[in-house]
Amino acid sequence: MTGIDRDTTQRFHDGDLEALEEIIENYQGSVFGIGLKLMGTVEDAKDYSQDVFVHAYEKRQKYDPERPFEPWFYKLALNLGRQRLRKRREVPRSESMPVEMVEETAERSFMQSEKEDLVRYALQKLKPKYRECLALRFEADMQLHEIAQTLGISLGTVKTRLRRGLMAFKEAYVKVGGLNEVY
Amino acid sequence: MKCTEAEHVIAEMALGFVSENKRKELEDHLSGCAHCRQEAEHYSVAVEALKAGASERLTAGELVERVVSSGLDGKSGNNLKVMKIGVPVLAAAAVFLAVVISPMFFSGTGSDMTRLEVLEAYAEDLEAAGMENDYNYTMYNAEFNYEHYGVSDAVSEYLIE
Repeated sequence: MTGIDRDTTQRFHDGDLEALEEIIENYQGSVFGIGLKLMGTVEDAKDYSQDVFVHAYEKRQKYDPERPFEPWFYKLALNLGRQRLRKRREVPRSESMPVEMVEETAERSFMQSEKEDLVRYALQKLKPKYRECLALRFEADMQLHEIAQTLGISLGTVKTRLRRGLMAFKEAYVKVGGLNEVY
Repeated sequence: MKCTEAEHVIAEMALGFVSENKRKELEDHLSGCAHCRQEAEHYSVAVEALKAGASERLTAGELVERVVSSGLDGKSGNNLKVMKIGVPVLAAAAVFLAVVISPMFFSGTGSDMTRLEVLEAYAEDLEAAGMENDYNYTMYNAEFNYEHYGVSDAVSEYLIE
């Protein structure tokens, strides 16, 4: 995990907007990446990122500056992600690729963009609990014990979820033709 | 090592938390299994795809602007104020309505039944309605009447409705 210093987290806790900006600069990449892996579209990930930092700022009084910032912050981010995923269930999801994603795919001719679309699409086939673990591992660059701490689950469960998540992702990625980009 | 176990170890190796013993066992297996070698290659590609960041990113500046322009505390503060005032007011209104309407509702039933007995009867009949719901709920409603419980016509109609 990347880190910010104690002074910044204290100022953040006290409501300093400059400290919030520092936090945004430090974590916007990982939060956006987590949003993209959880939600599957760039627009959703942007809205999600905004919500996470607004929400973190609003809930800053609940953060204890004496304790590490990241487990609190990522837990809050994941809870927000879960809320959004729950809301999304109200709308029946099609088995086919989401319209906005198809449009994006058609519009973009760059191979890199198509590959990213396939990754996001394959991830959407996974259960949210697997997506969460993979997002924390690959976007927040967390170690196993950090994922366990953030999610409040055992180390063994983290390993199992990561392994099953990766196996499911590999299957989905093969099905959507992700490997064709390579071979 | 069987192929099923090998796939688990391949996945763990790709994620970076396989033990040294398992790694050696896997290497032995891979040397004689073309299928699992291909699987290992697929996992490697899958992990690289997961590691690769999105080319389209939200810049820190853009995000700061979005966050600040969202109003931050102002929005939640207003919501909180509404909650702080609204919830007690709604609770008080509910209690008031219960106290005022309840005697009006049960007055003039011409029955010796207590309010509790009427409610219990109502609950039992709802339960019965639920059990019979599968075959003919409409017919049940049409035939049923709370007059059996000493409730006046008007109230009976109201309860059925």
